[in-house]
Amino acid sequence: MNQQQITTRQAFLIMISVLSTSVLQPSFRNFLRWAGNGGWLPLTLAIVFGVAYVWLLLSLAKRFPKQSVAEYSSRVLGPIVGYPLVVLLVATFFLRGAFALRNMSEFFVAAILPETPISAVLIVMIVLVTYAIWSELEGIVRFNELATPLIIGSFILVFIGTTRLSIWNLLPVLNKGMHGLLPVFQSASSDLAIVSYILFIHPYLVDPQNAARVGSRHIVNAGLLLLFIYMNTVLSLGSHIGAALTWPYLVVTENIWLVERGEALFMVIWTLAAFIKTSFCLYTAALGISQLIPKVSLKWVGIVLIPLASYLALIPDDLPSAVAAYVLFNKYTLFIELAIPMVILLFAILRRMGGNSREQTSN
Amino acid sequence: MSKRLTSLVILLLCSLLLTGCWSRREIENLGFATLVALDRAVDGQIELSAQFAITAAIGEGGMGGSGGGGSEAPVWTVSCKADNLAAAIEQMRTFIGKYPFWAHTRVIIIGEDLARNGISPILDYFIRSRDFRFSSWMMVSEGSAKSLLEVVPKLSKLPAELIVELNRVAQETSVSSSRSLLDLLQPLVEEQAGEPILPLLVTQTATEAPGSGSGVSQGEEVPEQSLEQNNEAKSLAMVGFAVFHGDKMIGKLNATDSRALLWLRGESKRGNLVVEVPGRGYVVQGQIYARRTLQVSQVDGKPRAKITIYQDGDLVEHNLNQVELDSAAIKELDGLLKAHIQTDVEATLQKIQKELQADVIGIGNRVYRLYPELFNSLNWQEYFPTMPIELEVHADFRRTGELLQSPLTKKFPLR
Amino acid sequence: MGRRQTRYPIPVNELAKKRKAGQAEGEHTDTKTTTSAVVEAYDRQISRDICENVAILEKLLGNSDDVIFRHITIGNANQLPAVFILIDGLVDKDSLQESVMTPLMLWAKEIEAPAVTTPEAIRHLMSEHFLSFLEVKEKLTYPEIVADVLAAEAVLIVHGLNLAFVLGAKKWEHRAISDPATENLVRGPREGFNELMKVNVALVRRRVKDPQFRVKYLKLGKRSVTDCALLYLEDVANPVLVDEVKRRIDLINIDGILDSGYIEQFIQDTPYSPFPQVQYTERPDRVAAAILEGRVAIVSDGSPNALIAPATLTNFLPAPEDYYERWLLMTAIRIVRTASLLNSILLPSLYIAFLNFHQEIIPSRLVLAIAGARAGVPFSAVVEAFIMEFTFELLREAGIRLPAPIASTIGIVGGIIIGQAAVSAGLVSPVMVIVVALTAIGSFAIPSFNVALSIRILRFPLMLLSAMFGLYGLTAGGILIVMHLVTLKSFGVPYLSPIAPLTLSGLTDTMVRAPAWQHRLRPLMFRPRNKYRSAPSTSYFQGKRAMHEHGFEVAPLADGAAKEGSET
Repeated sequence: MNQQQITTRQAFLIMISVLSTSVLQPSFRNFLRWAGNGGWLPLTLAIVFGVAYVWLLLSLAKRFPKQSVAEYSSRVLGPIVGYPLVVLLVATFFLRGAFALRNMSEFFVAAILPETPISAVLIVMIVLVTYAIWSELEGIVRFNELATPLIIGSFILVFIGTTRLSIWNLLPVLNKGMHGLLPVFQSASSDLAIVSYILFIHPYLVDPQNAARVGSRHIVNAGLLLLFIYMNTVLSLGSHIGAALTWPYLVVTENIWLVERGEALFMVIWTLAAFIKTSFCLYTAALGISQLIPKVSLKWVGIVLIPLASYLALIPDDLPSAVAAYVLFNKYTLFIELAIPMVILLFAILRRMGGNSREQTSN
Repeated sequence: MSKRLTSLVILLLCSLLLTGCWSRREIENLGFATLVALDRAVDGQIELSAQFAITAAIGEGGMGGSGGGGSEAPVWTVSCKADNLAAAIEQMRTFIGKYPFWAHTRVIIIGEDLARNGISPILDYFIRSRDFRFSSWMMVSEGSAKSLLEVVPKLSKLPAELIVELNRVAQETSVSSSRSLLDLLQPLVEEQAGEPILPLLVTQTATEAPGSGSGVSQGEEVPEQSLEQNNEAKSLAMVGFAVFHGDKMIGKLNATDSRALLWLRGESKRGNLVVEVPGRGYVVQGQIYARRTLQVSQVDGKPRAKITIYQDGDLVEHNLNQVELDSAAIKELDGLLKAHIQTDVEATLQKIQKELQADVIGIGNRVYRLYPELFNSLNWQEYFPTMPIELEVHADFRRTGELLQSPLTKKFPLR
Repeated sequence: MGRRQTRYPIPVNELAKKRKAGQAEGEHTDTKTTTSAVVEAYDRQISRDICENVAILEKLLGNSDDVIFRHITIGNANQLPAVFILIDGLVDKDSLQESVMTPLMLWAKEIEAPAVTTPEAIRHLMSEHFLSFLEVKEKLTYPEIVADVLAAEAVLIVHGLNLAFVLGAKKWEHRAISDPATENLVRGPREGFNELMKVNVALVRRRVKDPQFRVKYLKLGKRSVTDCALLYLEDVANPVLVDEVKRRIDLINIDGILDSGYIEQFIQDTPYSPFPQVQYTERPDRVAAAILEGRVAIVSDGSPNALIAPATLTNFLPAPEDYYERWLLMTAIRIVRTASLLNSILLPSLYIAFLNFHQEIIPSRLVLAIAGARAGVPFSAVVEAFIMEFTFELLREAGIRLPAPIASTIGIVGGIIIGQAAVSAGLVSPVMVIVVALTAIGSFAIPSFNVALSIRILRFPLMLLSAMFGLYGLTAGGILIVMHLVTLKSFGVPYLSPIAPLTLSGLTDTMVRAPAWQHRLRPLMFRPRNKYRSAPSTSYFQGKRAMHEHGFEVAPLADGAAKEGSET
């Protein structure tokens, strides 16, 4: 029904940009605060979780080829249960987009544009995201395709340029004890769980048969990127200073020898990542809504959603409360995003819907 | 449809234009502070001195060729006193009439008095502010920091450039080493990371050897100089370390001790080492390579440390009455060199452990990294002075420069 | 669906309807002046009476002074009246005189033979014996004759025959084939197109002697009736693409096509984009290369620029030389070119962003020097940048219109004197002059003039954005541009392919220009019917192996020469 066609690789490549925005999120420091030197352990586990999660999502999506979760969830669970579940899922993406907007603009205001009101930074982003949503899925994924090498390259460049890499900063492992690992795992997994957008865009994939392989590979890559950023921060700053700073990775980039005082240049690249994440989250939300209500055009949903998201983003009036809200949100989103596909899949299996040729019989 | 969207976008952009450009600062409205000095005023206030570059003079100098002549450096030093840094900076802003811009401040000098009273109150601003860089170099001045800003460099345009050069010189002579704000921060923030040290900035006269009266130039006679000459050739030197206990400075290390400390910390790079050969003269070794290993072990529930220093270099000068330095002679000199380093380092170790009682080597950090439980069970402050530290030195002369013989000694035997 | 309609400048459906209806009426509503004779004569066969024919044709052609009606009498005794109709200046008069008029008027004895009385016999005699011309066609209706006269043919009407002979005697003054003025190369052919469509087509045909090479003639423009040709390779170009190009060209309804640029504007996908979506070139070798890639070229009469469609951004950046010179050097030059592209679009904005927002990035010494140099400048960096960039555009525009010898003077006056004077008068800082100069040089290094132009234009909004938000604004502008590029399509081909969407085989001809033997595949983004450019065996290494197998050792030259010497 739609001429949008993207490859699976393009669809999953988004995850690298999405995870690289961690450096803009004040919650990144929580990894250091909670788990200290041992943060790599839950992060590695989160990658495993990510792969499993992708497998879960795809085994659900495979049952209903050429259909979006918005279409089949109410058939599987009945409209009374299925409809609200999808709305919940859409809401998580919407809120993710809102938080991404806030986190990003907070970062820019604090780090490079000290006197600019946060709303001005947001307005620029609103324009960009609106344009992205109007360019639709193809536009966003192609943009991401161009930006991803830059993003990865920038992190590698920072690593090469870091002057103070001390391997001793990784020891002793678990200096904050075991109890910090779970929140870190939860937080990182929740970031990885953004990949549930695949439930909405699965119908647009050209080669869905490769999805499992490509998806898990990209999830691993994205997780490894997060791990890489984390390791770079710990190796450079140690977990103590890192946990004290609002944006630990910003300080890492401030202290590289390649470009002296050149963190603003890296911010250019992080802007790209933040833009991709925001527009993709909001696009997914708009897509979900337009799939739920067939008569509503996606673009106009986007026009409504974006200002709404930026309004929501500005509700917490100081940075610490914004961070607290984000941490809280991140914690519960994981359960929502984990539970909904699981429930749908479970019922689909029980009711023998979807899959090979039973689709027709169940209808 | 798309027309309406375009007009919306244009409207939004126009609204941005109307409201203006918030964070914009014209470059000519900035006062570029090149150096910052912090002192403790008599009444306990903070005295902030900043050296601003007079950009017009620099620009002319760049264009017109021989600009900025005379003995005046194109800088303007301003001091402000206030209870806290933010207030002092605001005061400075009203005084200079420009926005003081700190991002190009390469060096922050802390006065000795302030350092002895604790630096943590002033550091908060430096860390929090986006203008000050984590990479700016921190140092402690001998005496007042402000007074150092008056020194006019001869070969550099700006005093700040001189101090930046000094960092490199210190690195190459191993009499001190540079510390950035981030380097300072780590031992301050991490309880287990040892005690911080900062390089010491002193005024000196040119004819004095850096760190005069230290072991480097022991036995050498410093020629008498007239006072006027001394005044004229006043310059800065980065020699030695200020040792901190927490955020308070508790003592200094002179050039010899600093060199030894750098060996102990594994940060020593270059520098000449005068080794006396008893009864025969001296040999000078130009160090080209040094590293150390720090091994920490646990014996009877107590940590022990073993530091091994590997060092080698070239023979750069000697006055021995010996024409050919064969391998046997070099072996002998190696032994003397080793003993010399051993003595120096042991003396310094003694000073650090017993006198200063500050773990500036970072042994505690290593113990904590490897045996965290053991470290936590100890009171490191108390244990460190009594800690057994084994020292091993491997030192070598590798090459003898462009001479294998001493042809002059052959013809004109010394003594 | 609705969106596609608004995208094209031509309202598709309406136009198609109009065209069908318009067939009978002739032309637009504005051509009310058309005489009733035309309507009457439409599709009517000409009569045997030469007087009637001349009367109607005179009416149809109007009494333009350059239309020549030359009445002659064929033969001496059996006076057979005839008339030549031709347009002055467009017909080769010499050959007409020598090969047609002289035989007809002086030597046509046979016409008096008694056998030749029937029209059939006259016709046979004329076409077989008298009209010693290579190209002779017979036309039957008035409109055809009018069209032929206007298309610079000479028409002969003989009394008693209800047909006209059309003699292909086109000849007019034209420019010789010369160096392509705008696409100079160090290495490569020096031929450029001129204004004759047939010559241009022949220039391409000479390079592609494939039987699958197709030339389709079209006539465009209601009044200009411009000859155009569509060139492509039948078994390489995607038929869907060819059809689409044809379809879009067919929809063109305009009175005159004076340059291929008219066609470009009608057939591009997104007319509102600053980026060109159809390539133009003066070089036949470039057209041949495009045709071999499975693209379609459009040559239009009266224009030395052939159009190539589809075109992606990566098609605009290379110069043809890239493919003629060795790959390693050209890869290096392509990197320089890409850098100069970025340079010319970003440098002024970066200057503004760094000077106004991110003073910390500039090296300490430089920032002090800039601040010193700017101490006496009365304008803010933004205004300064705008003034200087505008001045540069002014100089450049002024220079383009001038004859070459004066243009260099403008360059000197503008570049050196104004720059120097502005600096010493304290109007701008010397750094700004450097920035403007670098921007200018950067934009000249881009081989395609139209891409360079769009980049020059895009520089200004970017400068505005970075004046508002510094690097953040510049990034936002960059995102908008890239987002636009990413969604842009040229005849259905994504504008940034092969980079996004990524095609690995296509990357051999982007920033890096891989060795010629590695371009085994045609660019897949054009979806060619035949993917392979070269057979696997033409690869360099395999070729080397083949040489080895055939006993040709790659031996040092001296040895080889000695061997040869001994053999002979």
